[in-house]
Amino acid sequence: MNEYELIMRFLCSFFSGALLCLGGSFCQVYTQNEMASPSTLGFSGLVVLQVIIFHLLKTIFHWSFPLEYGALVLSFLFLVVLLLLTKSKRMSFTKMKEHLILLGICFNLLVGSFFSILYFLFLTKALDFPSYLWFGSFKFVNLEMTIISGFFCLLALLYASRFSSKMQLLVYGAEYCQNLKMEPLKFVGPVICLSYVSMAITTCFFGVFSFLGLLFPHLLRHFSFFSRNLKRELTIGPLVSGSIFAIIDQFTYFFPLNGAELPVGMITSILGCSLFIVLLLKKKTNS
Amino acid sequence: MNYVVENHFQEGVQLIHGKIHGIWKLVQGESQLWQGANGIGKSSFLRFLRENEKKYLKEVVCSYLMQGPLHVLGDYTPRDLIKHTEDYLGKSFESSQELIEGFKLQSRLDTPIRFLSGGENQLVKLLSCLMLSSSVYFLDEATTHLDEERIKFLFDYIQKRKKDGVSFVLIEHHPHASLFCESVLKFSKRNRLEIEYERV
Repeated sequence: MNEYELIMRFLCSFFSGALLCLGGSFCQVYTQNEMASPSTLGFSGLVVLQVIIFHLLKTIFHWSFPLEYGALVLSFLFLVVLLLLTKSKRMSFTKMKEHLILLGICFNLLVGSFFSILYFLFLTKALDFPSYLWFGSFKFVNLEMTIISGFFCLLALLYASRFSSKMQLLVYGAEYCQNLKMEPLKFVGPVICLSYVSMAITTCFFGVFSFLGLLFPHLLRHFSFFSRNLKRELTIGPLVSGSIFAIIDQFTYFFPLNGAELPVGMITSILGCSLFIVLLLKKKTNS
Repeated sequence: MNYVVENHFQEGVQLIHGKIHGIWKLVQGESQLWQGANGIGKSSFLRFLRENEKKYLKEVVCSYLMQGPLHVLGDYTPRDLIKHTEDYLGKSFESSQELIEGFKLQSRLDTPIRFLSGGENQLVKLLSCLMLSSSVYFLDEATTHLDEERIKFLFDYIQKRKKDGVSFVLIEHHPHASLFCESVLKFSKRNRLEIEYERV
């Protein structure tokens, strides 16, 4: 990679880290569940499904439209349809039950199985398949991806900084918010959309980074600067997380293993899964 | 008699347990006890009123204490809760100090809420509800997990606030609650859920 590409790679990894951290914080604050994240709620599986669907359509109809952009558009369309369909239904802001997290993880596994089967079938037909998707990396970045991910990162950060003071109250639950005449439901749409969009952009462009949205918020809350201060967690936190993520990615680039670059998504999967297990065990001990 | 709330459910309104029928009234400055068998629908009716506050409670400012613990994401403490409430509403609450002393929460103000015991959690819930300036307080099983000293403080506090024209609705099984309530809303079930308002 030349210097220009390295800078773009750094920026892309920074924006992705920031987006996923913000998406994770949003999920946890809204659901009041510290195990919630775009990954554990099944958003990553949903986006991978959009990628698979677009790839299938592209193969069948011989479209030349790039996969990453086509899948992103499909993801947005899916979101719009979902929002329209659920507009009239009330989403109760209560602590989400653990089984919904389990459902999200199972859905991810289901999509993963579907992904593997399709990969096998495409292999037998010697057709192209985006197998790189499953463990994300920043090997193939370009200017458009950098601009789009940077734009959405800025949008999400602006929203977070604008509403972080009100969202601070969400940590105490719906009943508390309603007593203050603050309607928590008005944050449902934007928060879920931003979490989903953050997952859609990073997955469609760079691949899956499992559990990153779970890992970073917890990492931040270990530091007193971020602990008990949602405003900092939602504004400065993503910048710190993005920097950490970019540094890890640079590390994988400059220190390949036996000449091969380890996808940074593999590292985050191991760290994120380990954290998930630790959280579950800690929860059992506390209860 | 100055009714702050008067709602007629003569057409019957659907709750989880079935349609509710009857008249509910609440006088300014009175405490009202909701009586009925377990599972009859008292909390469901309260939830219904809360969700339809704009329709049935439009004349009054309400605060609610629902059943269940206060669940907090992260290590926020009771002191954080008070501070965030004050920051959001733009005013400080003198009543919070009185409640902290009465509930003896001084030593627990800096303990993360999720590490508090059941009783302490209930006290923080009560604090977060009662410190607000409302004209009607709905307290569902407020005395759960509380010791007699704190229950006495709570009931004395309610009596004191009533003199300022504040009304209280209690869903309560504590035997002393009925001693100071001026009215009762009786819940009964025949073909539908019936409510009957009665001055004591």
